[in-house]
Amino acid sequence: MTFRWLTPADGVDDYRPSARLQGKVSHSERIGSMYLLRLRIPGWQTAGAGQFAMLQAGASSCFLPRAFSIHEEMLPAPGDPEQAYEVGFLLAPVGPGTEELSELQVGDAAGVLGPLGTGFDLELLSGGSRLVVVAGGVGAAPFPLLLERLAAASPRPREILLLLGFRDGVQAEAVHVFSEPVTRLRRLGIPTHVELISEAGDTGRSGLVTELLREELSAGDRLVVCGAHAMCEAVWDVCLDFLEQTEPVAEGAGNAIPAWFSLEAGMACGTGSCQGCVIEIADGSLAKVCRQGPVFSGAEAFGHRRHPCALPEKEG
Amino acid sequence: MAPSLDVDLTVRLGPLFLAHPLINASGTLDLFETADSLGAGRGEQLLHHPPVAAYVPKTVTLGLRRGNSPPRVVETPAGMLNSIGLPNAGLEAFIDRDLDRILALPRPVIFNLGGFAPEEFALGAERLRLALEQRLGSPQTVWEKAGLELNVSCPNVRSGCMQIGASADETEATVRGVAAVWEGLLAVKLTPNVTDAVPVAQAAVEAGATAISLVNTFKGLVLDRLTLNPYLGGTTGGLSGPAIKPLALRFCWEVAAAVEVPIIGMGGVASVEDVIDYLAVGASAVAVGASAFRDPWLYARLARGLGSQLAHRGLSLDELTGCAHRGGALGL
Repeated sequence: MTFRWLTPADGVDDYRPSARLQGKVSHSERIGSMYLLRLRIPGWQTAGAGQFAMLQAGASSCFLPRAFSIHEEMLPAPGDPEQAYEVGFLLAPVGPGTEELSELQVGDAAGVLGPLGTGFDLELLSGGSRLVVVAGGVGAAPFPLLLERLAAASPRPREILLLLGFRDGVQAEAVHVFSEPVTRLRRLGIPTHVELISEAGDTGRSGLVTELLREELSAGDRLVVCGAHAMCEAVWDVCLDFLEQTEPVAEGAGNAIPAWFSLEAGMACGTGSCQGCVIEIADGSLAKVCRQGPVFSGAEAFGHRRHPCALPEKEG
Repeated sequence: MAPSLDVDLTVRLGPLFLAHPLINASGTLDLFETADSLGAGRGEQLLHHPPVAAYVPKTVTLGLRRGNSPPRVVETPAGMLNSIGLPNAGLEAFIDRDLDRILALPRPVIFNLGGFAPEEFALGAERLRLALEQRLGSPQTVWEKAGLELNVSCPNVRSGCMQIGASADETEATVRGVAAVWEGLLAVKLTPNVTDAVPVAQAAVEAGATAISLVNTFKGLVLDRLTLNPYLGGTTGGLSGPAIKPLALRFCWEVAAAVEVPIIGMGGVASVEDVIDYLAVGASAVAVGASAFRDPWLYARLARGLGSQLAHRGLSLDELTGCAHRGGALGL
């Protein structure tokens, strides 16, 4: 009988069944005030656009992982014995969990649980005359993958308009994450326009992304939206206003604006167990963002609710 | 997914037979939601080889409960505070929609029943027993498959669940009513929000409890950094995670010394060392809660790690269990 317990120095037990995948940082890049983190993840299964993953730095001082939209995904290289995907995440360091992840270096480990949740329905997005992408700040995260998937889809949207709102010029540097997908869509002959606006006004136009939307929105548009909850509510208000204004002229249902929102909530598990991430949706029920979402239709999430105080209109 | 290291890790909790001591704490693992989330391959593996030795579903109450308003969870140093509020569709809907698939799992089940008055628990237990008899037939089959845990300790509902568990008299009345209709494993899950859990545990055993689960979460408060208002929708919440482990271990130590029935120990279990500690203070089974949010296979890994450690030390599970009350592991 020995008088000590096993330690890692005794050799690690190889019994490691896990739903949590071991990612390794293959690329980390600062883009303005955000970070693009790419992980090489053996065992990853193809994600749908709009799905998310729970991430945690390998050596973490946080108890829980954090939820991130899947930003980009590259198939395993031919001949890769591990068949590892490379999966990218766009993150803003806003607290201890996101700060740890933003400080990871190439080769560092990160735990990954995913892909999880209900993402965008590509078929629904491809109908309509135009797809309008509304993103606020790090809410840009899910859209490069969505645009890549739409470029490969059939049918594809006929036209795409990106309305990108940022806090300031530094945050607006994140516009670069759209370079590749936008170029690809244009090469495919899909007219793709990008409009920027920032609250500080130090890059291009000054104001909120909802102002751009108010000017641009037209009948037949379909919307995908991601950003702060207040921004999402304000976007939905613009949609409701638009409906009210145009209802008398246009004919019935053709005028409704189908919009899908990628929402967020604090989560412990990301897999439907903890019931911590619920939000109140339009029918008054509480929906788990991790299972029913993170992508909700506007009607499902907000219904006819209006949010007059959600986001004050900016003056001047 | 039973560990196989030639160490006998099997545990008996009354008529329930567990392949190892690791189970989930109620409300922290929904096997079906998790399996759906993980997709076809990994999800099926989870249901065909559950990583827990017995499955403890989330608390069910007689009536439907919406649960508390969001936000419901927030991270804290080495843990988290939750205010979920026992959302569930009610016992009848649970029996209609969930019971069959839960019974189809290749594991014993410890159902968790919540309530706000002693008679609610008795009604619920009797209804559940009837439903189980309809599905499983003979009483022996029922009691070998299904145990019951009474949640008299939820800190997140206004209507008084935790008030039952804070009182020896109320707990005794509650357990007595259930024991009259439930012959299987009857565990009572106690609150740590009392000075001393021993009188409550003794009252529960006196009234017919055949196991004691402890602890539920510690009532706590987190403020919103910006507004300095309470952060959670339910104002206060229950603290779990490694932060509470020494606090919870003390309750297990005291209660295990005072009652003869098996203890299901829980509170902040995250590592094999934690499992060993709970067993050493006298727990027969160990439940993992918040730490398994990161990975639903944690229970199975901890069971395997326990087997490795026991094999290395040349200890049996019996020798380890309760050894802290008998001079510790060196005296064996």
